[in-house]
Amino acid sequence: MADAIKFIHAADFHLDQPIRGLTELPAHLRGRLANAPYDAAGKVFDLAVAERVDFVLLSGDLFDIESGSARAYAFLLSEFQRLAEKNIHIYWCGGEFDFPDRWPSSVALPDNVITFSSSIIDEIEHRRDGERICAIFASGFDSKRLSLADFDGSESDTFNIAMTYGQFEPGNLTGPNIHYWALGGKHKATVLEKTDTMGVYPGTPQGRRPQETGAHGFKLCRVDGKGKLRVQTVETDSVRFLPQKVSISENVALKSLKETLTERGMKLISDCPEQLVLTRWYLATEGEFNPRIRKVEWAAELLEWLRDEFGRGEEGVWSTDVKVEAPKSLPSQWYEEDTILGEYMRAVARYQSDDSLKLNLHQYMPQTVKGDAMANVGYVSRESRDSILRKTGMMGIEYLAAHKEVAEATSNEIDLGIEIE
Amino acid sequence: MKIDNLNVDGFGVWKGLQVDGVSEHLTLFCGQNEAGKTTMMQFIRSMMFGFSPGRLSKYTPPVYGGLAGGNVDLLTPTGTYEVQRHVDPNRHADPIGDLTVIDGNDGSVHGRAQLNALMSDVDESIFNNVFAIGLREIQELGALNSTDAAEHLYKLTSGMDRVSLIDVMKDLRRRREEIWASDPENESKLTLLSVRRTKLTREIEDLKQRSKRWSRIAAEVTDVTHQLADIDVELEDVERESRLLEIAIQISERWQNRRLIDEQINAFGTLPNPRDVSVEELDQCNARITQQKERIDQIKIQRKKIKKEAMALPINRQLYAQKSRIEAISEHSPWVESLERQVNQLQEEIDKIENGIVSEVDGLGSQLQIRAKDVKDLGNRGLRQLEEAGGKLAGELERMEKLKEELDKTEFDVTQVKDRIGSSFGDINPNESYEETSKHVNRLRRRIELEEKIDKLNRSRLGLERDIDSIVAEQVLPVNKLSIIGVAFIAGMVLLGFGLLNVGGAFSDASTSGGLVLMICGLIAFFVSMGLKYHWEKIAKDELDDFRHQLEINRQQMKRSKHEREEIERQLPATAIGQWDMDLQDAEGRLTRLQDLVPMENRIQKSKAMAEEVRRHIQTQERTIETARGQWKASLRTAGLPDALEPHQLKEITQRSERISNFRVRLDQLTSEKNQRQKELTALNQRINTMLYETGVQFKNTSLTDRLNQINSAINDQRSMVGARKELASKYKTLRSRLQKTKRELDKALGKRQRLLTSVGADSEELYRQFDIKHKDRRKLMMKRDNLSEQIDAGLGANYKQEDLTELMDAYGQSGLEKRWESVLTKIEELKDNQANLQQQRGEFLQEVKTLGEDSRMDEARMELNIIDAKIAVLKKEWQKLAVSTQMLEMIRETYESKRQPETLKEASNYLTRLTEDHYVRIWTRLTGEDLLVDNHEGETISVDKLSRGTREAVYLSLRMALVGAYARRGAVIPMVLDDVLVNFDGRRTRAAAEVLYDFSRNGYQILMFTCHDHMRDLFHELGADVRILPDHKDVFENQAKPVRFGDGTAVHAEEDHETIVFENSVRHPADPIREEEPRHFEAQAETFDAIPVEYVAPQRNSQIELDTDNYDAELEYELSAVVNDQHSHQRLRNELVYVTPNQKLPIDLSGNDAIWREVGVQPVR
Repeated sequence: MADAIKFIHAADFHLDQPIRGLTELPAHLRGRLANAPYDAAGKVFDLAVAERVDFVLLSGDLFDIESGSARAYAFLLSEFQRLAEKNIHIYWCGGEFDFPDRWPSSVALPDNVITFSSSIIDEIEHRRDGERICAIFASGFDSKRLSLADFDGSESDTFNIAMTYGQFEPGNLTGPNIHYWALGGKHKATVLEKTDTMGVYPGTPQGRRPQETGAHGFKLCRVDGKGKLRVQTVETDSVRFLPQKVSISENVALKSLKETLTERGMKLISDCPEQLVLTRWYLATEGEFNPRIRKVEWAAELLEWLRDEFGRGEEGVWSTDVKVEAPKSLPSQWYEEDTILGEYMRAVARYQSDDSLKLNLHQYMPQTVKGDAMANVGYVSRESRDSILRKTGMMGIEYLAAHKEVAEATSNEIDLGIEIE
Repeated sequence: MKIDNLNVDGFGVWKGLQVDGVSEHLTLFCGQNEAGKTTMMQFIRSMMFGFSPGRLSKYTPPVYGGLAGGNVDLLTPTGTYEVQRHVDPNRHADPIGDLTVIDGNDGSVHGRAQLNALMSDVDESIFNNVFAIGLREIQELGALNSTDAAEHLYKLTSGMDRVSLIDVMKDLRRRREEIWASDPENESKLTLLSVRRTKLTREIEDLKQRSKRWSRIAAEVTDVTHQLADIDVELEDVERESRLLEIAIQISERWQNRRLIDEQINAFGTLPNPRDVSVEELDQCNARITQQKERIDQIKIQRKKIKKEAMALPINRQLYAQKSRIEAISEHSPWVESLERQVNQLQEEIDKIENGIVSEVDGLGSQLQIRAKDVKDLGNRGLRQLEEAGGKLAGELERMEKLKEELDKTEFDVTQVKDRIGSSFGDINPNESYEETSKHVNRLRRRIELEEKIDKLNRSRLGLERDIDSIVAEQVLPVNKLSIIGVAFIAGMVLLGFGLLNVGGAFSDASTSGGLVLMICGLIAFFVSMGLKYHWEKIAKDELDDFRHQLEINRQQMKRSKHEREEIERQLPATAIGQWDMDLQDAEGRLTRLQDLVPMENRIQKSKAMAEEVRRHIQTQERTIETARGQWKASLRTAGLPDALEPHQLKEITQRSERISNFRVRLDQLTSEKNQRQKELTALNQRINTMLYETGVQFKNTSLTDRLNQINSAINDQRSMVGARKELASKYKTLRSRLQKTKRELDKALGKRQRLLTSVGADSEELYRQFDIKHKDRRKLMMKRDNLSEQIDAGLGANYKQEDLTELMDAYGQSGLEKRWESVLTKIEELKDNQANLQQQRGEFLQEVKTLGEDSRMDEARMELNIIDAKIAVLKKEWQKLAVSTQMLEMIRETYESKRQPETLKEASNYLTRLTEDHYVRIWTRLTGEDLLVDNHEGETISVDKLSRGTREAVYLSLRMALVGAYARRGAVIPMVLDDVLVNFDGRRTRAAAEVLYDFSRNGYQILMFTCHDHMRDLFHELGADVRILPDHKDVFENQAKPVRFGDGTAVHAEEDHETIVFENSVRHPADPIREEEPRHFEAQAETFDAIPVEYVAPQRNSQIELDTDNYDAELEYELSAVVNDQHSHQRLRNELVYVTPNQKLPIDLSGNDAIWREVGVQPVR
């Protein structure tokens, strides 16, 4: 049965924001990473053409209009024109950064693009062959807008869509007789369930930060003749953050750990054959403390091996980091012994338990940079104090307890652990 | 904690080595090179800290086999403990080994935790850094330059256990500097990143301008595109006009010609519509009028002819009028035929029945001689009576026949049985009865039984007589019984006799009572014998009477049997005696046959009685038959039938009379039916005749059927004629309508011709034809004009219309066209130039827009900026971590410097004063900075890096001792292990050091010291230390030799060596024997030149010592090199000692034994 209405809902392209969170940029991935937001957004328009949708809803934050990215303007204009040739309409409401009103007047948008201002709610009838098939009530981002009750579809007897941008909860979807809320402003795809209606954040088509893990894409919506709505997620991301957690024994043998990581790496590659997977490896440890795996060199060697093993191609797995988690507990006698280690551990513990003890790091800062942009390097925020102190403790152990040798396990004591999504 | 006893079960070269009663102060182990000193030190370490991989590989498995390990007895303030530790050489996985700690107080067994407690948690690295001083440390110190050595010494004062606080802090600082250098000139990671970040930020700002540029140019592109579109439109118009002008010029002549033709056409004025003027149509109309007129004449002729034909047909109207009636009568024809056929058939049947009756009557009359009339009159009643009488007679006759048959059968049966008896029992006497024969048989049987009985009785009599004889013989008792009686009797008599004798008083009283007893016994025996005799004789007599009685009965029975036998024999016929058996068999056979004969006799009797009975019945029946016959004849007479008639003939008469009466009934029926049919036929005939008469047709035949056929054919003829006449009438009618139609068409054609003329306004046909000629002329002109128009159109092409040309011609006229064309061409040129310029401009803009739009540099720069920010964040955290660590360590260091350092330095100062014999009196440090300072006895302060090497070693030893003291104060009292640490000291300092060490040990610090030098041995022996000489390991293994105390008088290898050399002497007088007073002289010189003899040991030629390698075992190396060393002569040793200035950096040659003592370019002090 042919769909009565077919449309695409996408948002948060953020074309001008490249991938972040990496500390290294390998030359062979430079292009891939820089183009990822454009590649992902391009797939939205590709599908619109391929599926011959009725229209495309873009609910904000396509790019930062102030960012000065000519590429973003050119890209959008080109894609809008492509859709105009296919007579596919685009309904675009502005988000926090992309007020369509500010689109340069000298560069006219094609006729198929209808934009919505932030101050008022416009109602647009979408017609096919002269026949009205649905109504769109839309308005751009308005920070003062707290309620969505003004999106009123009660006088329309067609399929009614409301489109806007902002952070809303299911309880906010109060506008009467709205069948679909096309929302923007959340990078993670979210569906707000409510009786007789649904609010959908399609998420960004391309995750940009390590926190934005997993697949990203947009929504392809179909309304059948009976008015039943089906929402399908289409993945578009070409780069994907997928952190991995592996539980290991403290005396794990490097060889068996590599075998496990290989297995996990191969699985990632097979799961995401079209994506470049950016992976941070968390190694959670168990068992008696082993200073060997706390050495920076150990993790660095592992990272180098992982990159060598999986990160050579444009696709595959690029390991961003290998992080050995802090041990669950340290031997208590270390805190008690009458040695430098004992003194050190006690001092750290004292600072950990007593926030009033100041970490005065400015004394170690070079005189010349004070007042400079780097001035805050010496400042440890309240939030990061605990983390820094824990790391300091581990550093002391690295120096003062390096004598604690632990035999390397001969057997495979690796737990496959839980994958972090 | 102190070591008391050592027991090596197996470790390296040692097996079964026991060292008992180790001094709690200072014990010096003295041994030759390769004697196993290092092995012993390593054994002690293994016992305390386990088998490290290095020790395991070097010392296990033991040279002499067995389990590796041993035990050490420890003395502590809380008691004694025995530490046992062994390791399986084949299972090196566990570096701890199998450890057992046995509490000497209660024998309880503990593990590692207890040992750690005993060791006050001092692990091996602390032990190495604090409690153990070997040649390695000395070499290490010696190998450093002055600054480094000073620093090295300072570390000892400012925190040292596993690591040096100073080292750690330095490393932290280095790492911090790497991240963020304090000197801005130095390149550190953060500064580099900062610079790069600034650059990138600037670049991004620059790139942002490109966006504005892009939108501006994009607008330009739009503008230019619009302009181009306008030009395109304009150019298209002008070019169109240009082309039109060109064409107009080309076809202007034709255009003029066409105008002339138009004028000619117009001259014709108004003509009727050419479509209305059609000469052909007029001609066609005329032709049709002529044709219709001819057709009317023809039809009229045809009609007359048909009328004539119809009138000629002879039709009988009267007959035709009767048509339906005749057809109805004709339908009766089959019925008439059927009636005639039925009448004939009935007649035939009547004749047949009449013949049947005649034959039946004739048949009956010939047989019974009765008349047909009689037969006809034979009534039913008479016949019924005859039937009853006849039936009765016949029944009785039949019964008579049956009785006769039964009689014959009975008689036959009697004859049959008699024949049978005669053949089977011919030998039997008919008089002999069955009863007699059976009695005869019984007598014979009895006779035989009696014979047998008599025999039996005879045998019984003989037996009884034998029994009586035997009993009579037993009347005298048998010997055995008699002897019993006799014995009893004699015994009784004897006893009685003795009794009587005793009683008779021949004996004493006692004999009297005994005699009485004997008498009683004798009497008892006598009565018993008498009793027995009487009893046995009575039994024998009773038995004899019994047998005699039985014999009497037997005789009586015999007598009766014989009497009975004689009786029977008398009754039986006189046959030979002894043939009773054969007679019995014969008699029994006859008796059986007699038994079979009895039923046959009975049957004969019975049959005879029956035959008599049947004869009586036959006589009765004969009488009954007579009566029945009389009745039959009476009946015949009554019926009028002859008497001769038998009852069985009566049946036939009855049957025939029934048939005849049936025939008669049928005959009556048929006759009436035939009459009926005849009547119907006659009635029909009359009707047909009447009708035929009415038609008037004359008939040849009189047969009803024929007449019907004839009239039928006549009516058929009439019918066909009427049909022909109808057909002709219809044709006539058709011709009339055709005539009318043709007349109408004629009128139509005339009307049409008139209309043609009227439509063009022509009064006559002539005028009409003139119009036609004018039209043809004008048409020719029109064609010519069209031809010209086509040529003009072809010239104009598809893009232009004639209107455009008309407009143009009207506007400019033929002469003005050329001028106009020229001006238009000029305008086109101008527009094209303008268009080209704009297109080029747009192309450039588009290229720039494309370049700007596709430039990903901004994204890459942003990404790079992100990466730099991420790196900075990571480094920032790393730096903070390092800084916080430094902060922590500085606090610890402050504590050390404020609390422990003064104490340590004070203690070390005391030791240094003694070691340098009051030359240096104080070691101290400033409040800030890391300088260690030494004050000499003159109050001068000298930095440690300025001190001579020997003094530095003294400082080092002092500091280490102070460290041990500091640990002891914190509760960790662990034995010190020193390995030839005094080797670089001169004689005086050696002595001083020995004294210091000895005193130190006496203050509660156990020291285990190892040396291969005899002067040390002697020195410490003098001081009173426990000096042990290590025996040869082979002796230990084979003879359980033990280390002996030096000076106990035990002959040891070392003491036999008279070539013991004291270094001091050798320095001053290489070839001379040792002299006591020499050291002081040397000391002065040594101080003057600030030089001391140095011994260098290392594993490899031409390589720097790598003091920090994990696997380097200085002790072992020293021991091994010393082995080779011993192979050299003392003479050579003396000549090759060297002096080295402390500030000189030595290339340390480690090529082996030969090079160890080689000269290094500094002449020895003479």
